[in-house]
Amino acid sequence: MYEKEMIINNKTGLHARPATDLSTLCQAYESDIKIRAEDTEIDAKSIISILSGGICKGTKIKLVVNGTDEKEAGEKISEFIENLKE
Amino acid sequence: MELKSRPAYILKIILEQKKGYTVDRIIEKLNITKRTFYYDIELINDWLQSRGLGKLEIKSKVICVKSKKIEMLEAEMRKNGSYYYSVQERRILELLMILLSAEVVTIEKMQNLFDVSKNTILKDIKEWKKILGNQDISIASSIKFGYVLQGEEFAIRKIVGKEIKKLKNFQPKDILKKWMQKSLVTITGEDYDYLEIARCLIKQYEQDENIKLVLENEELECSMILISWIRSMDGYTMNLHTEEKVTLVETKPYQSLKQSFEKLKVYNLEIPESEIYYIATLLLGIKVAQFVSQDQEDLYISNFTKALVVNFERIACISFDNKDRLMTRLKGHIRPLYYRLKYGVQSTNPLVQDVMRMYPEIYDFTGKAVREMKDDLAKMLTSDEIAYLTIYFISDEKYQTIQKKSSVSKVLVLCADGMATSTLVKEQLKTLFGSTADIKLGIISEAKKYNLDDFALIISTGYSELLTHRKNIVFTNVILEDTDKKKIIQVMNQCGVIGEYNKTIQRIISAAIRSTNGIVDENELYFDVLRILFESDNRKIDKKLNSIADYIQNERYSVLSAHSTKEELLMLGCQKAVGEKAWKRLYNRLCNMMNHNKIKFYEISQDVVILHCPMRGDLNVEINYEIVVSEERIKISEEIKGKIFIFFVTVDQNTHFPVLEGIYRYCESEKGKSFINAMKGVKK
Repeated sequence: MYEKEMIINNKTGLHARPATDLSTLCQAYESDIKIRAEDTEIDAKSIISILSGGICKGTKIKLVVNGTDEKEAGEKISEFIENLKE
Repeated sequence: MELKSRPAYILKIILEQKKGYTVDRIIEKLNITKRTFYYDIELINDWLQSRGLGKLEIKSKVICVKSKKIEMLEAEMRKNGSYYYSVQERRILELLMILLSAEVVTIEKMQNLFDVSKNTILKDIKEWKKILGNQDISIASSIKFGYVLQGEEFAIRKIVGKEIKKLKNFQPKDILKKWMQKSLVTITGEDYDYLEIARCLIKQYEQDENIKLVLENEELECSMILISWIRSMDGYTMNLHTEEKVTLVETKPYQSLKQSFEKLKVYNLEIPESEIYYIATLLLGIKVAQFVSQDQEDLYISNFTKALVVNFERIACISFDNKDRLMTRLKGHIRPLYYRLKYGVQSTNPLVQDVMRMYPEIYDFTGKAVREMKDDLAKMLTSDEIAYLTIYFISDEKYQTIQKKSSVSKVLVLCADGMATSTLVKEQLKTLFGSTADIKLGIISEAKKYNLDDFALIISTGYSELLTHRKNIVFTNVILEDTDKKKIIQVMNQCGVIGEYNKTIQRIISAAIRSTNGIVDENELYFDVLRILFESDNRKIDKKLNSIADYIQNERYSVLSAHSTKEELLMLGCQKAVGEKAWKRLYNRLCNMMNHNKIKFYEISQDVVILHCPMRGDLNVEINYEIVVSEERIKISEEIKGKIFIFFVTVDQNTHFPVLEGIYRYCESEKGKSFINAMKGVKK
């Protein structure tokens, strides 16, 4: 299992456009990918789930990836979230 | 001094055209008056002069820029950000502004936005009122609310979608996005990227179904989704028919959207249920003709239903006693059928094979009635849907016994041994069923060569694997015993062969048992009564009529001489079809119907027309037909013209169906087509 804690830095958090891009990225991997924030667990492959997750700037999240390509997926997705500018 | 909007646009296009632009061309392109044009030229020259950039010159009606600093002028114009809206763009945006603006829309606001005069705006609104008035949509205005649109929401959104599609340039599309965003922020109190949320909805649906939607214009669909939110949260919701909702509820887009909207409540997007249906229709696309309003859609469905019923009457040579009742019931089916086809939702009919087997004539007439319609909806009907429609025509109680009278007569007797055994079984069956039964003999080992579905009943004196699981099989002894007769009755009832007769016969048997002291042989009595009922119905059909092929081969048709009139055609047809005693009554009836354009006819193929000759209630008239061939095309009315006329006589609502079906099948066969071509003088 791959796990990593991060803090969301971009202005709009995980809304709209970042949500679309993030879910598209996650779908490229076989592994099960979840984002945990406070009491919520979000399926990162579902755009609407990310959108409705209410993850805004400053939220502490934990990325959890489980599957055959978990290392590669986890690293790429973490990099994506950490580099979010929008 | 700043050069704005139209004058800036005029200068830009003149600069682009190195050879200059004609005055007339500019006036035509901008749809302005000469006075306005020259006023703008004055403005442009003032501006050019103030910057020392030259001037505009008109020579031989061609206008061009005279300047020693062209490059500087071009750079200055590139910096100029004002956008000139074409007349079309301006008008579309005015409509959208009225529909979507979060603020009160006034003439002043529109003037400022588009930098045009009050008169121009008023002229535009007048144009819109004319166009929208055709769809019962009005533009109302008041001091408090400004301009508002009033009318059926379905029609409003249809028009708005059509107009948005016409916006091609970035600037007007961008303004629209800003308006929609501002409206939603005002309504929800939250500044989210709503256009992006709409895109996410579509992408989520694609994810859920693992598909890539081929939307004609994704931007347009997203805009329509936002408009749906704005309008519905403002109180203007789409109200779809219940049947349409029932169809949509089963679709994948609806189910995906329902789930998504539950989650999107965090964005204060409280979307009414009815809008979810509407948005589902956007994702499904529309597969049949589009209508501008629900009233139009309703009218289409009503007209379709009526046309189907009228066509069925013409093709089946009948007149429904209670047409209104049938149409009401049929419409209740056709409306959901229309919505299923509209959204490409497939429906299968588990009864289709049974319907085709038990009611082949009515199924065929229904199919022909549908094909006669030639519209988009009719073309999309599958055999399953046609079978459903057939059930409505069958459900008129008079039809429940018909098919049984014809195919019930087809019985196959299979024996293991030689012909003697088969003949013995046949004789016993003839005693039971009477002369109406058409009994074929065969050998069990050769059962494969028969099309077993063609027979109402198969009697076999021996076992065969091929026959075991058939519904219409009865295994009997060579000498039919009571148990065999009971089995035959049971199977005939299960296969629907006896139909409504069964109830009548049971009642007669019960009455006989009650009224006699002795023993009633129920099986014998059952067959006795069945035989009487079959024979009394088949009395109406002359055995000669059962083969049109023989009729043609024996040249029993009539040939009309050259230069004959339509009256002579009708006279000959009537005389031959109903004989000396009745022909005048039929002739007068047809002439009367002809004068009122009420003759029922059906064009089987080019120049081959069947004319319905109703003789219901006329004593001593039997079902019959007469074919009259004319050397020249005869025109009975605007719609009825041909060279081969089949005068088809009916005496009630159904007993003629087998004969009529025989005629249709013959005309569709190779032999029939050869005959028709020969009669039309076309050599094969």
